[in-house]
Amino acid sequence: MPDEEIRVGLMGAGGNVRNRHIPGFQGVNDLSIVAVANRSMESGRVIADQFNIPQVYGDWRELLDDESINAVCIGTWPYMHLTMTRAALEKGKHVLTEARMASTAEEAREMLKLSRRHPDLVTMLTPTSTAYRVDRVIRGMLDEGYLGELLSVEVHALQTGFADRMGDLHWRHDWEMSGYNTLNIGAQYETMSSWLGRANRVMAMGKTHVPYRRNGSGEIVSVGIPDHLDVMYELATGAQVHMRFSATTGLSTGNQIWMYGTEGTIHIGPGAAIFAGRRGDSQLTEVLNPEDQQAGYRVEEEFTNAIRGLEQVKHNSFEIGVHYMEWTEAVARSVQTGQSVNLPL
Amino acid sequence: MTNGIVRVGLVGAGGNTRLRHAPGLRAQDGVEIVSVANRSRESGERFAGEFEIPKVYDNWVDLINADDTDAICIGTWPYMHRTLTLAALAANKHVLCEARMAMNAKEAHDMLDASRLKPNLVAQIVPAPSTLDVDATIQDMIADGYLGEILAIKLRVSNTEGRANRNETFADTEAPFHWRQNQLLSGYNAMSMGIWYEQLMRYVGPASKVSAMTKVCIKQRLDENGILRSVSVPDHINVLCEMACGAQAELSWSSVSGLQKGNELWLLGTEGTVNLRGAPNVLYGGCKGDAELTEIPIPPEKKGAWRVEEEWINAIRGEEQITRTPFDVGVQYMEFTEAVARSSQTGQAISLPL
Repeated sequence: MPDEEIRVGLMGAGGNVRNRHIPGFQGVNDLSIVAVANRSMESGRVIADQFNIPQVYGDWRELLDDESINAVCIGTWPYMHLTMTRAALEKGKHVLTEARMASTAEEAREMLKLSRRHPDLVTMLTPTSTAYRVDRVIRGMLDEGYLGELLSVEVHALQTGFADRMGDLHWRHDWEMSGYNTLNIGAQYETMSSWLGRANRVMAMGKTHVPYRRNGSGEIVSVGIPDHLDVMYELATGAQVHMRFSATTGLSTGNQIWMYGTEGTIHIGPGAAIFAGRRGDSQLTEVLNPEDQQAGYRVEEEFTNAIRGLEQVKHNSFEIGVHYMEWTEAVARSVQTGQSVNLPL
Repeated sequence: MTNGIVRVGLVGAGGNTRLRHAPGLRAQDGVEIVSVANRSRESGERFAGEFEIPKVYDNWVDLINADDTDAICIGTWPYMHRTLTLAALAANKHVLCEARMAMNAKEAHDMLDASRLKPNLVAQIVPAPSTLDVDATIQDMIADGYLGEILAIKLRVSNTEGRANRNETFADTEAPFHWRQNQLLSGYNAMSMGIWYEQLMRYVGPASKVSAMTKVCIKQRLDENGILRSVSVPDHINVLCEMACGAQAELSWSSVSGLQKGNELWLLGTEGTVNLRGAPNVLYGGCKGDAELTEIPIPPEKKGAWRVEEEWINAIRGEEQITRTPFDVGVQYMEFTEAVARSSQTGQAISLPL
C-alpha cells in the first residue's frame, strides 16, 4: 500500500507506547493514530486526550472491527500478544508487537506461523533498546576480526540495589502476565545473538530472593519468577557464555559485557563505554564512539517503511522473536530440571 | 620421635617443597629432614645437597618404611598422593600431603578413611594459600552479620597455567604441555579450581548442587620431548552452584581470557556486599545505605600467614589441631572438583555430597 494513508490503532497503551511508539508514529508522514483501546475505557480516554487520538474503544475487538484501521500496535504485556496478533492478522491489519514477543516458545512459534499465512501483511517486534549506542562500533570490530576466534563471553545485567523484601508486585513478577520472560534476559540474548549468533545448549540456575510481594490490592502473593538468574550457554561456534541477571545484587558493578577472543578482548562497561585490547597490549583502552555515529531508535519508521514496501523488517522479525523465546524457555526448563537444554527446542 | 626430634622424609621434591616445605621444616625447632626420594636419584641428590639432607633413596618405598623416620612430606603431583599417603599411614608415619589432595573424590575418600584408621597419626593437606591474610577478617564480618543473608556469590579467577609468559594473558598456543594439563597426573583438578573452592568454603561452606560447562580452548600442546599431546583438562570453566547456605554462586576460571588480570570474589547479601580483589588482596565492603564500596583495612592481629610446617609439627607434638587443612575438607573440595567434571560431561546438575 505505497500511497495509502497508514491508520494506526493502539491496543494497550503502557509506558513504552506513550514514550516511544506514539511519538515515533507522530513523526511519520501520511500516518494517523486513529484509535486506542486500553485496559479500561477511562484509561484509554486519558491517552486519547493526551495525544489527540479521535476514537477510544472499550474493547480491543471493537478496535479490530474498525475497517478504517490498517495497522495495529500491540502494547500489552506478553500474555495477550498471540491472541491479539492472530485476531489482527485475520482482520487484515499490519502488526507491530511490543517485546517480549510472547509468554512461551510455543506461542512465539504460533505467531510466526500466523505471520507466514499473511505474507501481504507486515509483522514486526519492538527490538531491545539496550544496545543502540554501541551496536555499530561492536559490529564493526567483530566484522573486522578484532577478537580472532571468540572463546568466551561474560555478561552482567545487575541492578545495584539490595533485595526489596515485601516490595510491590510488578507485572514482570507475574507468570500469568509474563510467562517465561524473566528480568531482562530476552533482551540481553537478543543483543548477544545479533552479534555472536545463537546458542546450542543452555544450563541455568535461578532463585527468587523476594518470594512474596504485595499486589495492587495490598494482598501478599507468592512470586514464581526468579529475581536472580545465572545462565551458561554454548554458542554454535563453540564459545562459552555466562550471563548473570539480578535484581538483588546491592552495590554490584552493574551492567557489563566482556568478549574474549584468541587475539582480542572487547569490554562494554557501565554507561555503554567501550574498551578493547589486542594481544601485545598491556591493558584495555577506550574505543571512541561519537554520538553522531551511533545508531538511533527507528522502530516506527522501519515498520511503516515496510508497510509501504520501502524496506524489509530487520529489527525485529518474528523469526528473531522465536529464537529468543526458545532460549528464554530453555533457561526456565534448565532451572526447573537441572539439565542442560539443547536448542532449537 | 626420639628425644622429641621429629624426623621427616620428603617424597617428591618439586617447586613447593623447595620453596616452602623444606625451608619451613628447617625453621622449626627439633625437626630434622632425614631423607629425600625424588623422580631420579640424581635430582634427589641435588635437592639433598641444597638442603643438607643426609640420605637419598632410589625409591619412595624404602624411604617410607625406614625406621628412623617419623613423618612424610608428600610433594608429588596428585596421581601419587593416595598411594603414598596410604603407604605412609600403614608404616605409622605422620603425613603432610601437597595439594590438590588427590585425582578424584574416590581417592580422597580412601585417604580420609585411612587417616581415621590411624587416629594417633597427623594427616594434613597443604592449604589453599591465596587468602590467608584476609580469611579471618572476612569470616568475622560474615559472623557479625555484615552481609545479612548471603544471596549471591561471584568468583572470577585469571589463571596463569599454560602461559609461557605470565604477563601474556591471551590464549597461548606455544606454551608447553604442563603437568597440570595432563589428566593422568592431575585427575579432575583444573587450574586453581580446588584452591578457590577451599577458600570459598572458609566463608560460606560447601555447595549442595553444581552445574558446569568447561572448554579446552588450546587442544594440543608439545610436551618436553617435542611430542604433540592432546589436552583434556579445561582452560576455561564456568560453574554455577547452589550453596548449602542458600546463596547462588557463579564461579569461573580461565587461562585464555586476554587482559583479564587478577581475581575477584564477591559476596552479596541482603544487608551488605563484600568484594575481595587480588593479588595482592584488597578487601572492599558496603552496606545498605552506602553509596559505594570502600576499602576495609585488615587489622594486623587478624592477618593470617603461611604456617603449614609449623602447624604440622605442632600437631605431631599434640600442641594443636590441624585446621589448614584437614583431610575431610580435602574430601569436600575433591567432591566439588569431580562434580564440576561430571556436570560438564553429562550436562546435568550434580548434587553434593557425592
